[in-house]
Amino acid sequence: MEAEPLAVDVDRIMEDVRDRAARRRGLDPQPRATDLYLLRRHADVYHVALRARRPVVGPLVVALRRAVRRVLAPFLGAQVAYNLAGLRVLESLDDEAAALVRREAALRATVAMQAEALAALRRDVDALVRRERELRAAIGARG
Amino acid sequence: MRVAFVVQRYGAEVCGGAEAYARRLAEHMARHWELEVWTTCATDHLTWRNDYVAGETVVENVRVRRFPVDVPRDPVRFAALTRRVFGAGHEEAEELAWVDAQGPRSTALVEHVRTQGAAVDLFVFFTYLFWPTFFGLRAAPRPSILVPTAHDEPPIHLAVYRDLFRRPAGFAFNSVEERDFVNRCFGTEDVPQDVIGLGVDEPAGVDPARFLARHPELADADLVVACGRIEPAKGCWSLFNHFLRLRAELPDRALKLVLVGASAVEVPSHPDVIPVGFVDERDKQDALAAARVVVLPSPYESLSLVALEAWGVGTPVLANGACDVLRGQCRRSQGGLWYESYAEFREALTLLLDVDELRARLGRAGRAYVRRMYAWDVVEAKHLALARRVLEGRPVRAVRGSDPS
Repeated sequence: MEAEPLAVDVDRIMEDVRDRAARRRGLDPQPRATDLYLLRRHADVYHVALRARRPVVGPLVVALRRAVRRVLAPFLGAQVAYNLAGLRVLESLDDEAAALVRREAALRATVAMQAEALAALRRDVDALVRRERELRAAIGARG
Repeated sequence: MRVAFVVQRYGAEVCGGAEAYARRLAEHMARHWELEVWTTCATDHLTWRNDYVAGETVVENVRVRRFPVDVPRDPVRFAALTRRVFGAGHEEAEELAWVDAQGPRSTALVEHVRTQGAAVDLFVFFTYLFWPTFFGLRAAPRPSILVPTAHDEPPIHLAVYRDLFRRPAGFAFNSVEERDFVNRCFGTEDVPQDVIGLGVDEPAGVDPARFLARHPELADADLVVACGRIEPAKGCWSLFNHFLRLRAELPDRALKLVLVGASAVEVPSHPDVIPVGFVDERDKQDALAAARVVVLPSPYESLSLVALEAWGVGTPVLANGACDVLRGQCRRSQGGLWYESYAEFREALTLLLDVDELRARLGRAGRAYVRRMYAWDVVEAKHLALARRVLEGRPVRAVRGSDPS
């Protein structure tokens, strides 16, 4: 069952393949957590800090931006509501996905244990069947 | 030693993995044993129509006795029973009715096993699933070896098959995964057994250029070849979906999916999906050698002959990782990669296509594995040794079990 000396290690290659595939699918939990953080941080597009650095023109620019924001308030409000609703859905799906992963791991463990128990039961049944045959043969030999 | 092979179909016109296995093995073992094949007149596994004439004939130096199938399969009744027995709550009698409806029911064949079986020393039955094995094993008056070609599929969990797996005096498995699965399900560890598989001929005169010359539409493209029956049970839908999605995502890559084998479904109409249909053995070998990668999409296999043949010509494989056997074969041979999702299909395939050295190493490892494990002299020696163990362990066994009719 051994591979030739210069053969590659396909298990190692498959680890790389799976990593790259996971990154492509966006299932890697680390980037997903980062993305969720960014979505959360930037969901409220109304209460954005308005600052300006220039000493004289700066306050005028800020005042102008505030005025524009007030004008756009109905639209920005709708956008904030939309962003927050989307964020809630995504967070809820993320929680559900994490729960499903945990549940799957637990189920796999349960199935493995049950398979082991089943195999033991089948061995017991087979032993009983063998014993039954022996006993029948013994009875037959006597009678 | 006189040996009878019992298999549901047999002949050059028969298309099917287990049947091809039986035929190749019979042709090789006939050099060692006084061998006869007992089979039905059917060639089509969907209808079990009597296509061959009943009686004796010789196929490639192997004596074959064919017996008529009682009735063709009734697809409506079979479908209804399938829904019934694989749903919740059913009687064992319904499982027996399902085995009967599946066929190919040939009472003449089983009667021959029962009445003439004492003239042979050993039976070898192929494929646990079908009627001739189910009732033939019960009727056989001599020890039997079963080549189960089993995998984890719904029928094997039917209660009626538990009895079947207690009857053989030996098992010839196709893979480590199959052996472990059967032993786990039926507690058969103590029965003489071996993992043998099927021998692969050393390819001779293989010429990929000949295949490309015959199919000029394939020139200047990387070829991904899928070989075998194109049908849903062999994973063709997921292969089509994965490949077409890959083409959409990587439109600039010169890549074609070549389908070698008869098709039971409508192949997607796409300029890069090329069905070449059923081809002869030489063309098949040429196609496998012309491939950059041979893809194995089937989720159910007990042994992939296509994988062995691909490795025989030095081509790496990309297998459906949902199939334990294919994944195990790739691991043991170090001759291929596998996928369990589209994302893995894309990453593994592009890796194989892009890295020439990786392809070459996988192909070399696969070829070395086939020579080491599946050379015919190795396979024949294993079968002879298993038969000896079986006959030493259980010299003669009385007829037992119920009447198939």
